[in-house]
Amino acid sequence: MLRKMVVSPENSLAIGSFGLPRETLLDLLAHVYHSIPGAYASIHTPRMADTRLFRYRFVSTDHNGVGHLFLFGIDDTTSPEHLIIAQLQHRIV
Amino acid sequence: MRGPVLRYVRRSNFVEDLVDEWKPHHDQAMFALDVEEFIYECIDLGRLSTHAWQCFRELLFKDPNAPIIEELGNIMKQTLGKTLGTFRTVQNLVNEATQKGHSIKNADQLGVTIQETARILESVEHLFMQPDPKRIEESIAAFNRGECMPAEELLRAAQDGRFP
Repeated sequence: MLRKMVVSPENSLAIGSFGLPRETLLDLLAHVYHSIPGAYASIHTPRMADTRLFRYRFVSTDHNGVGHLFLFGIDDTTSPEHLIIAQLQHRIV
Repeated sequence: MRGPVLRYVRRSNFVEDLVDEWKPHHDQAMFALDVEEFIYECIDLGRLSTHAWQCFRELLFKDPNAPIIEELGNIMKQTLGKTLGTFRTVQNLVNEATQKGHSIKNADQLGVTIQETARILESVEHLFMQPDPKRIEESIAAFNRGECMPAEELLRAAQDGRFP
């Protein structure tokens, strides 16, 4: 059974503060909901300094050709049924 | 695809060695001309770092979680830091030459090159940033209090225009 992705209120606010174009926001959230849980078995290896988290990156190009890089720290140790986004950072590259 | 990055690394080492070798043995009479030579080298190296970054960026957009991103990203991060150190050494030499009354060609261009290289370094460092420990604890505490939102719900809210 796939783990369920969850987002804390702080990180929801952070996503809202990125000022993403609507298409990029939907691309990001669809990826978070569909792709990360499905790929979990093959992506959870690169652990961060806080080893409760694994590092995951996602890139999306918007209609203006601007590249958006998202860096996730995802906790997969607190709950065996969930993936908790502990932090999400954004940068235009 | 390692080629552009390795080429950049070798050239960066070369320019660093060149400046280090020159410092203890330089001729004061040729000071300004030597500094101008170093500026040419720095500008070329800046172009090469931009080229290496563009090639690396293509790989990043193909698969941002690939092992080669870890490998080349770490090499880029380390080398860009060293490159900036060399550029700042040359910038200090430019300042010294200016204080001695010399007019140095392309000094402005060196400033632009430093800014661009610093911007590339920030992008590469972003790949390896660690989360804020406070944010991690807040997120886990919110989960334990049942305050986290399922990603599906957030996606629906965004699709319906209720988020952000």
